[in-house]
Amino acid sequence: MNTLRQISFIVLFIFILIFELLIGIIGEFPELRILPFLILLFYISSEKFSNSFVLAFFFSGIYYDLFYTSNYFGSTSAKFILLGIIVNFIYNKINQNIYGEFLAFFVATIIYKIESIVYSFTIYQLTIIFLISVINYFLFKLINITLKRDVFKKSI
Amino acid sequence: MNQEPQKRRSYIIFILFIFLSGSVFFADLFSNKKFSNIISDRIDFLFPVSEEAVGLFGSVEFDLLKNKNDLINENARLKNEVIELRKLKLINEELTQEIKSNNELIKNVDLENIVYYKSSILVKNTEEEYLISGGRNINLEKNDLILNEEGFVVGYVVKIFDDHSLINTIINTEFSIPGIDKYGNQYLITSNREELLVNSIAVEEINLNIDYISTDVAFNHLGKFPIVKLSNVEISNANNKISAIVDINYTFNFDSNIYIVKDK
Repeated sequence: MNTLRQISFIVLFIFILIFELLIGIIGEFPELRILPFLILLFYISSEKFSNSFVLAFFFSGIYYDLFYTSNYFGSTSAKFILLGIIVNFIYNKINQNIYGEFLAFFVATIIYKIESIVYSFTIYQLTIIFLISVINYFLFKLINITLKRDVFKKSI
Repeated sequence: MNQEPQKRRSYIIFILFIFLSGSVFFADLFSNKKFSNIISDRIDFLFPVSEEAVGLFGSVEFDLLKNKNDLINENARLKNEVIELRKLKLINEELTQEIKSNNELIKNVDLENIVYYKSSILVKNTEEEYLISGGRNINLEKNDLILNEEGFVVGYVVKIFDDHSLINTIINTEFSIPGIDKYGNQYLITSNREELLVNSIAVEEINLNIDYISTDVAFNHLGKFPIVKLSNVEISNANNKISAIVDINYTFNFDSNIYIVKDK
């Protein structure tokens, strides 16, 4: 049962990763992208952080390195896992109000887009990353609110 | 109460997996990517994106955005039309000059032994690299050139799979390609994502009347294909070095017509 659960997490992660890559070239503003996989990573790291997701983090990174980049094998896995730890650590240390949560999301976006920062660090690039985190944080909140709404607790 | 040790345990497991990723990374690094290539070749069937799937996905358009943008563009176009007409005479003269340059360039391209494979963009990754259709099935090799519909070099192949390939394009900071001008001066063209940076690496003759910088057989390319056009760009010459900065106006999308150049 546990193995099946792990496999389903891995499949879910990879499915959302592929979805993110497919929507990557749609849209009028190629720089400002919707990143559902980042939202998933942030959601898991902040709300559902546990051992059971480590294989999903690891294998989604391996899968990404195998088919979608020219990076060395394992570098994206390390990035995703590091993102998970750092986001969870920040999320637990800061006040969990909207500003603190956004700060954690912004840090997550920076780690997620670290290649863009390392290879071409400009103020423009940083602004783009900030805007990406604003858009995706809004989506995260939207999804989070929807997921937290417990319909069974409501009185009929 | 029990949460803190459990969280600490989770951190330790996550850190152990970072070390595992690091081990895999070093195995790949020291095997010169052979390790990852063997695995990706064996499980290539796990790559789910095909041209048909992307075509289907791409056909879903955001009509609302498009219509609004169309209206804005149309409005701007109408406003500029009068100004453009006035400039038409000047443009005409420039075009005549360009035709002359193009004719000279065409003379240098050996078209008989070259095949152009039409390709399409499948996926864009987070590092702004593109995966395109066509791989080992059309005998692609590393550094094969990618041209746009105007015949300009917009990238080259960096990683090859069964039916798709990863390319480095002019909007990647790792983009780097050597080129040559009509005087035999050699250049290295790199990118900072917004601009192409042209810097001479070997100067034969200092002449700033450079029309195009193109690929050449001297750099193991199949022939002369233009990389950048320098006719309307400010070229600087200092200390026997020629350099220029060219804005990148080309954008990649689902509808981009790109071609892979191969020999017959």
